[in-house]
This record gives sequence, C-alpha cells and structure tokens, in this order.
Amino acid sequence: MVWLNVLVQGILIGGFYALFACGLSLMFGVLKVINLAHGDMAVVAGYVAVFLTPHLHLPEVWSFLIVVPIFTLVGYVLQRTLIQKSIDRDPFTTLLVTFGLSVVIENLLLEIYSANGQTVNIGDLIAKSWHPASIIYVSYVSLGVLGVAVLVLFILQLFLSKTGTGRLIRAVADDREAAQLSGANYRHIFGIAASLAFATVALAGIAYGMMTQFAPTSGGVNLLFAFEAVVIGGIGSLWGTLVGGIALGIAQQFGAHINPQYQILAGNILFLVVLALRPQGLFGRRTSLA
Amino acid sequence: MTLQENLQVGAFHAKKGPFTIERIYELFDWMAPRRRQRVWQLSGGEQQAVAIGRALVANPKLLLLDELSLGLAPIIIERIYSLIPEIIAQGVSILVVEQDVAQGLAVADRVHCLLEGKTSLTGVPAEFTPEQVERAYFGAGLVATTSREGES
Repeated sequence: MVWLNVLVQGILIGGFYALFACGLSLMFGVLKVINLAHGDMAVVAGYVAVFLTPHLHLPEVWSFLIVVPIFTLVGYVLQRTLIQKSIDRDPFTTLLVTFGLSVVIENLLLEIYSANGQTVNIGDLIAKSWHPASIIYVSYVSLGVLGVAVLVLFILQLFLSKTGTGRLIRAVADDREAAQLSGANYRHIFGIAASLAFATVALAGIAYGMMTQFAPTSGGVNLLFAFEAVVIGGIGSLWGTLVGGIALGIAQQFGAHINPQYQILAGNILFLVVLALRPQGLFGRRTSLA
Repeated sequence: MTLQENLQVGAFHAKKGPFTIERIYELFDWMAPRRRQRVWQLSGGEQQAVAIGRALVANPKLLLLDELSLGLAPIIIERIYSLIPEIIAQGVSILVVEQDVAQGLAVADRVHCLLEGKTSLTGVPAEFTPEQVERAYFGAGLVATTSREGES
C-alpha cells in the first residue's frame, strides 16, 4: 500500500511535469529552439496571476482566464521579434538569447517582488483531498493539474492533426522549405506555435503556484525536470511528454520514499538510463510531431 | 505526415481552380488507396509525385519542375511525363528543367537550351534538326567528335 501511494503521488506530480514540458516540446519540435527561459516564463505567469488578478476582482483560481490569453499574445510577439531575430542568425544565438532572457526575468522579478515565496491563493481547496484507501491521499489540486495536463495535450494533439493551421505547423516542423513552397509563411506559423507553447507555460506556472510556493528563481529547477520529461518521452511526441513526465514523477517519488535526499537523483538516473538505452526517448520517432 | 496531409497543406492557401485533392487522386490513381501512408515511407518517384500533387492543388499559374528525372527509375519518369499534357490542358504553364534532351523535347512547346549560362538555342522543338540540338547542347567544338544516335 505504501508503494501504491508512492506510485499515485508520482503520477500526480508527473501530470504537472507534462503540463510544464509540453510547451518546451512544442518550441523545440517546431521552432528548433531550446527555450532556456521556459521555466522563468512559468514563474512570470505565476506572478501575473498573483498580482494582477486581485485588481480585477477575480478569484485567483480563475486567473488563468486572464493570464493564458496574455501569454498567448506575448508568445506570438516575442517570437516574431526577439526569437525570430535570433533564429535568423544561428541556433547557438537562440540559446544565448533565451538564456539572457532567463537572467533578465529572474532579476527583474527579484527587483520588483523580492525573493519572498508566493502562492496562487485557492482558499481551502489546497488542503482538500480524496481519500480512497487507508494511507492514499489524492490532492484535488494535483488531480486537477493532471486532468488539465491531459486535456491540454489532447487539445494540442487534436489541433495539430485536424486543423489546417495545425497541419501547417507540422509541415513547417517537418520540412520548412517544402512548407514555404506550399505557401506557408513560416514566421507566422512559428509565432502561432510559440503562442501555443506560451499558453501552456502560463497554465503550468499557475498550476505550480497553486501546488506550492514559487520565487523568482523557481524556474530553473522546473526547466530541468521539463527537459527530462521531454527527453524521456521522446522529442516531438506530445503523449510521450506525458508518459515522460509521469515516469519522471514516479522515479522521483520512489527515490524520495527510500531517502528524501534521493528524490531528484532518482529522476536524473532514470533520465540518464533512457538517454543511454533509448536516446530517441520512449515515444521518439524518426521525424518530429508526426 | 501522411500523403493526404501533404496535399491538404498544399491546398491550404489554394486559389480557386481546376485542381482539388480529389482531382489529384484521379490524376495519380495509386494515391487514393494509400492516402494514410506516411510520405517518408514512399519511394523516391512516389514522393516526387506527391510533391507535384501538392504543388498542383494550390492551382498555380506556373508549375516549376526542376530536374524531374533526377534519381528516378525510367518507368516512373515516363509515368510522370505522361501527365504533363493533361496538366497543361487545365491551363497550367509548366517550366521543366531537364537533362534528358529527348524527354524534354517530347513534351515542350518551347525550348531554351542553355550552354555555360547562355541561351544557345531557343524555339519550337519541331523546327529543330537533331544536329542543331546537339550543337546547342554540347557546344560547337564537341560536335565533330560526338555522334549520338537515337536521340532527339
């Protein structure tokens, strides 16, 4: 029963990792940009939720209604300006630019909001949980986040496979030049992909703020987990990212159960094992986003 | 991406015109039953045909075909070339760049022969003699030593 609980908690935290990672996966799969500021973007979303929504007389639980549209727009604009400029130079520049962005964001947040931890206030929902068996507690918040992660991945998958714009995104991801020959404006398509990625990162940031405290520097460690989830699942496969996130979550919970110090170590070991034995990831394919 | 998705991408920004995805399936009759297959699993000639189909569904005024026969089996080349009159009949102009002189002359209404970046021969293929074509293609200096039979 103890181990079952470990498994359940691993799956729950894995849902969060997947939600966090799918934007990263999308940015890399389509734009071939590794967004090192991904974690910090999530933290910014958390701050926007905490500090903007009270002004709008909206309960913080519903803050995503405001933050997600803002981030969708920010994603498009940032892609069409800064990120596209760096893509036009070379892949290495995108790493430097997003890294720089990450440093700037962290320090701006420290300057404005100090290093104090913040949470997205969801009232007493935070303490409520479902109690199906003796020692198994399923937090409603974590369950909700897992549900949102699955829903987001489902919608993304549906969008990419069924809509014309989604097909263009995959076409650009597969072969940019061939897609351009077919009349696709790849910069605009990149912008759409970036705005999708930013919408998901906004949700992830708010979810993080509901589950635990965040501070200006919380982005880095979450970015690491998101990376691991993407690589374990296989780059370019959205459902792979979910499986990767859950695998990472389970490994961490098992590690933590043996010794709390082993939590992150266990996740990293799983990551290294997958890299060594199956470098394309569990669901990795020859081509991206197929 | 699947074969059908490739055509759908081509059709996304399409103008109005004679070519629809259905029409492409009529033109290349092997495509419809295999529409769900992933394109990277197709042979080189089939991929070439998909690329042509994808270009056609956009209803272009002008279709550019660069080195159509490069790397393809002769039977596939013949099959693709046999479609060109049909495409032209729909009002699409086609510009073909081709090394295979006989193949090029057979489908073309007008021919430009380029030698070292300059037009060495231009006009209607029916008016050319084989010697003219040969000289234009290989350059005057080579004609004396080359004798090509069964061509053009």
